Amino acid sequence: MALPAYIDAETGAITDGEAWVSLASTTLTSDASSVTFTSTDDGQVGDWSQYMDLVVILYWRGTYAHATRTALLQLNGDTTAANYSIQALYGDGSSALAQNWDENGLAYSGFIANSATTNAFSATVTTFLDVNSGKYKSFMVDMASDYGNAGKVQMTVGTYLKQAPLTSILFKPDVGDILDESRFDLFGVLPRMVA
Amino acid sequence: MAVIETIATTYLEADAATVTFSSIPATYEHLQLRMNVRTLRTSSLETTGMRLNGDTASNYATHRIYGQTVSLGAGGEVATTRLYATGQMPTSVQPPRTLYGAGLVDILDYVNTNKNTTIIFQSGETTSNYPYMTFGSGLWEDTSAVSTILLYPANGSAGFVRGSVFTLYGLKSS
Repeated sequence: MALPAYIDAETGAITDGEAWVSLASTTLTSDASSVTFTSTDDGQVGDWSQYMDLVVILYWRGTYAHATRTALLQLNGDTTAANYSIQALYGDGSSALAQNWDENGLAYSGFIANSATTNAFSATVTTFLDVNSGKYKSFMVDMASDYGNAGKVQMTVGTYLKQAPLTSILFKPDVGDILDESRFDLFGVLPRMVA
Repeated sequence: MAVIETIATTYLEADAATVTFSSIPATYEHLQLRMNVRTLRTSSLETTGMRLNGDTASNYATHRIYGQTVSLGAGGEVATTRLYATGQMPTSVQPPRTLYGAGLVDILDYVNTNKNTTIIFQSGETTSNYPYMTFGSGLWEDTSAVSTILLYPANGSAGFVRGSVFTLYGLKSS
C-alpha cells in the first residue's frame, strides 16, 4: 500500500506541517440532483479514517424557480430526519431569528436558487468535527446567500445523532437540482497528537 | 504542495487610509482574508469596506446579522459601492489603544468568470461600551476574476490605525 506523501515512509511521522489536505473537488458540468463525497476506505489520502475534521466548501445554486431553497444534508446515507438536530441563527436583512429543529434536521441550511440574481451563488463553509470518534457527530455551517436585492445569512450548528465514523456526505436541495457550475471542495484536517 | 498558502501580509507600521492586495494570483480556488483592525474614526465603531478590482460603482450588496452586548439584530444594503469586509471595529476613541477587532473573510471561486463573487465574513470586537459580533454575506455583481482587493474604513474616517494587520491566503484543492 502506497503511503500518502505527507507521511514519512520510515518513521510514519506526518511530515506535512499543513493541517489541511485536499481530498476532492467537484465542479458540475451539468445540473445534478445531489453531490456526494465518500471515503475511499483504502488507507490512501482519500480515506477519511485518518482525519480529525472534514471541511466542505460549497459555492452552489439551485435550479428551482425560487430565490432560495432549503439545503439538505445526509451523512452516511442516513435519510432519517430524527437522527439530525439543528440549531440555527439567521438573518434576512431586516430581522434576525434563532431556530431549532430537534431531531428533524436534514434541512441544515439554505442556498440560492434560480429566481435569484443571475450568476449569484451561495457561499457555504461546512465543518464536521471529530469525524472518527465514537461520539455523536457535530458540524457547523456558515452560509452566505446574497443576491442583489435581498439576501440571507445563516450560522448553523448540528448534531448527527449516531456514533459511527463519517464515511459519506451528501448535499442536495429540497426540490429541484443543483445548477451546473456549482462547486464543492472537500478537505481533511489532520490531527497532531503530542505527549 | 500546501493547501493553504500565504499570498501577502500587510502590517501597518503607520496609519494608512487604505490597504490593497493587487495582482492576486489566479492559481488558487478560494481566498481567505484575515485581519486585526482598529480605525482612526473619532466616534465609536466603524465597519471595514471592501471593493474588488477597483469597482466603485453600485454593484455590491451586503446582508448581516449581529449581536451587540445582549441585543440581536440584522441589516442589509443593496446597490452600494462596497461590500462589508467586517462589521463594527474599534476606533481611536475607544480605549485601550491596544484593542483591535478580528475579521475573517472567505472569497470563494474567485477566478470563475461564470459566477458573481459572494463572500462570507465574520468579525467581532469587545470594546467595553459597544462589543459587537457580526456574521454576513456580500455580493459583487460582476463575473470578473478577482485580482485586486481594496480595504478601507467605511464610515469616513482617515484610515486604519498603526498595528492593524491584514493577511491574504490562497486555498488550493484537488
